Amino acid sequence: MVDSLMGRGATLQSPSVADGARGQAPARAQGIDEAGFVELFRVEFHYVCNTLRRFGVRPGDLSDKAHDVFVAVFERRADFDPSRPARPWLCGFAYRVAADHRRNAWTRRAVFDDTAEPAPDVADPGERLDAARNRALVLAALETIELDRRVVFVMSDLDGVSAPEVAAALSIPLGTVYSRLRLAREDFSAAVKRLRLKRGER
Amino acid sequence: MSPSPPEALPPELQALLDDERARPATPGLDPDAVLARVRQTLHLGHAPDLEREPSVPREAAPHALAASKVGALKGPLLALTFATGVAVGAGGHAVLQPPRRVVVERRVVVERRAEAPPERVVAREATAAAPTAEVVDADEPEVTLRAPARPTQSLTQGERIFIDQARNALLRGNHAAALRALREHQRLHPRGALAEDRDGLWVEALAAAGRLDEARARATDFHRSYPDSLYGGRVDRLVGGGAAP
Repeated sequence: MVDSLMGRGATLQSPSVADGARGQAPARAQGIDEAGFVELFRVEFHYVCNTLRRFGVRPGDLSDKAHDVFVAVFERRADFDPSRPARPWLCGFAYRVAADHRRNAWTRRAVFDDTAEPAPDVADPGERLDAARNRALVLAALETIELDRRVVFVMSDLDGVSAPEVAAALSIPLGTVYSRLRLAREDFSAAVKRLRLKRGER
Repeated sequence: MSPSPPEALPPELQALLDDERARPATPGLDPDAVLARVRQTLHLGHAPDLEREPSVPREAAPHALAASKVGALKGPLLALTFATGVAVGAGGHAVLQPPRRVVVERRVVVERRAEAPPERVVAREATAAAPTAEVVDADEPEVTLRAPARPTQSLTQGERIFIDQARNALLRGNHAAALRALREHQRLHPRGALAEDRDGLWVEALAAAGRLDEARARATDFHRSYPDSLYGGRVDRLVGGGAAP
């Protein structure tokens, strides 16, 4: 069951599921039961939290918003297709919850805080500091991209989801995915350049 | 012409994204606590895999066993001691406890619209559910009873419940429930701190329900009421139809 709920990329453990992620698995029954939902939660909780961070949810709000995401996921569990990767589907929920969160009158005035970066699990302390700094830079740059472009960028360039799958997960045309991705990449490049200048880097 | 994929990011920016992909779990997040809240929200039972803590720690077992042996040996004596203690305690409590005073306080503010005081006013009770009650008496001048104003903070707390309910309902695609929550918010907090959120969500709920004419009318009102709102663009997109690239 865990394998069938896994996303793609580094989290894939079973070759048969990797085939499923590429759309080669035979069609299976739609939906997951309660036990499947709990398993999905356990496997993808941190992915959902990291995705919410990329959509601008602050660390202090993560558990509340992750709760909202999984409540919505449970309500729509009948739509889940176990033959497809779970992450694009979950990312769609995270995007909608984050969009609502940002529209909230109380949070939209909040200042983005990139100071609470956890250290990565690497051996070299120098590399650790660089990686944490890079992640803070990525989050700050993402924050400058409009959310409807950002979700395409996150799914495509961070999660490695193909453009047709992004289009299906977000229910938008393929051409819109490409145009949003192009604009998001331009925004991201410009923001990284600007932030590096501001921080006195090259 | 079929759409073509955009140019890839340069390797330097790809390296930045590699670090972001390796982002570790945010410290301080407790998945079990969040799952418990999700279960509570959804009124789900607890799965066996969640019950990780045994109800009685193994370390406590020897003590529990010893206590049960003592209970078996000295049960009657302990029961007698317990009964005596209860009786003495109840008696002492009755003697020492001062007589209970029951104070019933009812605060009613009376606004008079005429100078002559009414001789007989038969008022309906002002309760929490109906904070305003008008006294109607054909022979007397009109008198209005109002409950005292509630604290602002609790009103703000109360507002959030309706807004959150509406959002959650929209996420589930339940437009009717969203509109019900928004109507309730408008009834109770017409000029509340979250009125802008409510009106924006209202447009969203109507648009999602396919009631586009009503959504457009609401959107016009929204722009009139909140000309500088950050919702403005989204409200326009909602009633304009189609996803903007």
